[in-house]
Amino acid sequence: MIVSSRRRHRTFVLVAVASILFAHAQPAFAYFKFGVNVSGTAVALHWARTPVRYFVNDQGANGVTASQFQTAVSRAFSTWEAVPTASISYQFVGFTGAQPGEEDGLSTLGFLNRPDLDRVLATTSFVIDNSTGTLVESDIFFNSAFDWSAAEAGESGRFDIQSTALHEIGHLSGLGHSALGETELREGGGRRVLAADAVMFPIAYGAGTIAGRTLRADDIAGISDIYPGSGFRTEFGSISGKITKNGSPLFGAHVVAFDPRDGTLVATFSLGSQGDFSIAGLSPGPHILRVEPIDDADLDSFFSAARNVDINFRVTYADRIVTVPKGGDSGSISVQVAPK
Amino acid sequence: MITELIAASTKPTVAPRLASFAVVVAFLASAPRALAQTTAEPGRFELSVGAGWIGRVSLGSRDANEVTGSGGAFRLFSSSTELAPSATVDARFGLRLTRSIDVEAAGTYGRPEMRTRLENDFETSNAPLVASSTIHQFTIGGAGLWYPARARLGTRTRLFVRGGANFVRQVEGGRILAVDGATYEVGGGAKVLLTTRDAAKLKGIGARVDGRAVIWSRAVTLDERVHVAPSIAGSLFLRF
Repeated sequence: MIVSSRRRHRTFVLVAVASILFAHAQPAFAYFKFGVNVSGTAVALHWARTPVRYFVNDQGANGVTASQFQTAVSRAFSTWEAVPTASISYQFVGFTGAQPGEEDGLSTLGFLNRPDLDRVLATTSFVIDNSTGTLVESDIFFNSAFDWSAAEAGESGRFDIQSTALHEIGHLSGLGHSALGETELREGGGRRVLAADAVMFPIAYGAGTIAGRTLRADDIAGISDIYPGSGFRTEFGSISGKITKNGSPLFGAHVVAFDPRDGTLVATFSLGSQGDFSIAGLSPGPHILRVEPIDDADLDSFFSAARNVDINFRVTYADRIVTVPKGGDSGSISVQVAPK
Repeated sequence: MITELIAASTKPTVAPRLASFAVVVAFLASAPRALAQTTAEPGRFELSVGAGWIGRVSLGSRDANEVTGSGGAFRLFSSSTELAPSATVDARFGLRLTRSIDVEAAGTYGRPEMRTRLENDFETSNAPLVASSTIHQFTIGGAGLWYPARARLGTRTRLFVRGGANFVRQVEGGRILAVDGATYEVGGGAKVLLTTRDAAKLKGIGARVDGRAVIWSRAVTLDERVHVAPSIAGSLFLRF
């Protein structure tokens, strides 16, 4: 068992939601948001009303009390709330005897003992109103088969509840996984994270680290895109375009926008039928576009297995510097990649 | 000697370049008579138009870093950005305040190429790559000129020291590229009064050369550090 390579999350319900998104991906999708098909139109999964009200299960696990757990997840909720360009908020309602994963109208966070999910630290599930694309309920369970820590400074050998909660709350808010991370394969299976630049990267750092408690530019762009705060649409811009290989649209390329001013990375995937992509939430000014195959996590961390994701191409940079206008879009940028 | 050159320039066997030189020299030679008639250079206002060159300027380097589990930096790739050398068109309007002090408003336009060199990519061993974009660069600003009393070369040429500040805007494809910011300039040059006139409006015609160091402020550069580029310019001016 390789703890550091255990994937957070993913229930059948969540995968189903993601597969709907890919089947109806539209170029306007920036970053990577979950979506649902509402009357033939892809709608980003979101909460219609905020604050998002949540409960915490009243049972602790592995030496972590329910109160300690609630304090840790509360810090994670506060981190998302503090994003200045987003307008989402959350409210702790109280402790409950309800378990996460129950379809009861309550959004509940808590522990469940799932030793069968030996690579899953935590999972987020949804109940969605299919007529509107809005979230009705979202539960997060933390797998108590692992050792957890609610300590503010973290604990050696234990996974950090706050870091994992930060990732899962991103899902609870409507965000999918980011591919901004580098991994290496480990003997015996699984992957070890070398580095990541998004809390929403699907593979967790190893036990004992709290490096995952800080939102990165990619996370901030994503949450702001779903719940834009005042000025987000007018102060930031986007890059859109298409990725091709041998003249044909390329599906599933990881497209990264790098801002040479501050070193931030914000990314998305080419999900459109023409290899289209769109990255929102970018600071105005020059950007570098880097296109790479998804090779640092299992493809099913991002896409339905039914999708034909092309990873047979080389890392490619756009040959021009792309200017992001304030409150606007770059205009279509074409990047042609070469086969490996 | 001058007379000989002028005479020579009328001969068809003289090379055109030599002939042009002769005309200019003769023009300059005619000026001292006019200057000798006055102790101060004529005119209060000065309008000049010319061309220049600004050298390469680094806009800074930045790594694309991800975060390791221990909180350290993991370099995905590195970048360094520069503006390539480019020609500029310059225009100035000056006002004489005293015999030794002028102030002027100045504007320039150029089309430098912005280049970003990308290397040390963690996932590819491809040779360093360059992404580029040609931009429109506008500056508008003000400057002060000081003419040291003893810094004269003959009666027609005055040396000056110049310092100024500019607002700079870079545009690419109709989009503002750089955060509006400032450049600062320090340098010097020389003005040569080619001729003077007693006309009511146009008092004189001259030529000017400038050499300066252009200091790019942190608001304009990409790495929030100050960078310096050399610049030279030449222009013709009219005195009013």
